[in-house]
Amino acid sequence: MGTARSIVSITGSAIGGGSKLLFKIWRTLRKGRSDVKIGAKAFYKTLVANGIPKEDAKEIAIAFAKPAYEILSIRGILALVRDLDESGELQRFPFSV
Amino acid sequence: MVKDNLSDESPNQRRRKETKSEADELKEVAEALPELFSAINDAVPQLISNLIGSIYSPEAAGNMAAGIGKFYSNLIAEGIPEDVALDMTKKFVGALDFSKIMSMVSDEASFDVSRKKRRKDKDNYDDEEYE
Repeated sequence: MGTARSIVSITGSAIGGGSKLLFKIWRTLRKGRSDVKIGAKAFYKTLVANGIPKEDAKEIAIAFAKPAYEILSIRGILALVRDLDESGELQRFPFSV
Repeated sequence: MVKDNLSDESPNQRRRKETKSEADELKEVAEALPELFSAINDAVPQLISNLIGSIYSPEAAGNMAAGIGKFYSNLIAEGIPEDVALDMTKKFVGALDFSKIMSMVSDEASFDVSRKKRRKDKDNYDDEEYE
C-alpha cells in the first residue's frame, strides 16, 4: 500500500514539477527574447546617435542580437544544460537535438 | 552471532524485510522530489535571465554601443574618410564576436552553478560524515 502510494506520489511530482519547469522556462525564454529586443534597440539608437549610418547600425545590431536568439531557443537551452554536465552522464538526444 | 540471526530468518521474512527497505527508499524519493523540483524551478529561469541581463540589458548594450560609436567618431575626428572609418568600425565589431562573448558568459554561469553544486555536495558529505 505504502509502495503504491509512493509510486503515485513520485509520478505526480514528476509530471507536475516537469510541467511547471517547462512553463517557467518557456516564459523566461519569451521574456529573455523581449529583453534582447529592447537591448538591441538601445544598442542601435546609441550607434545612430554616435553618427553611424542607419543601415550599418542595423547590421551591427542584428549581429549583436543573433547569439542571444540562438541561446534563447530550446536547442540553446539543451546545449547549455549539456555544458553543465561535466561528467558526461547525460545521454545525447537522437537526431543531434 | 549476527550470522546465526540471519540464518534463523526464513526466506519469507528476508523478502519482507527487503520489500520494506525498498518501500522506505521509495518514500524518501517521493518526499525529496518536490524539493528538488522547486530548487530547479527557481535556479534555471534565474540562470537564463542573469545570462541575458549581463550583456543585453539596455545599459550594458548602450555602453557597448557607446564604445563602438566612440571608436567611429574618433576615427572621423582624426580625419579618416567616412567610408574607411565605417569599414574599420565593422572590422572592429567583427573582432568583438558577440557569440564568443555569449559562450564565455554561459561558461562562467555554468561554472558558477557547478561550483555551487559541488559545494552543496561537499556540505552534504560533511554532514553525513559528522552523523
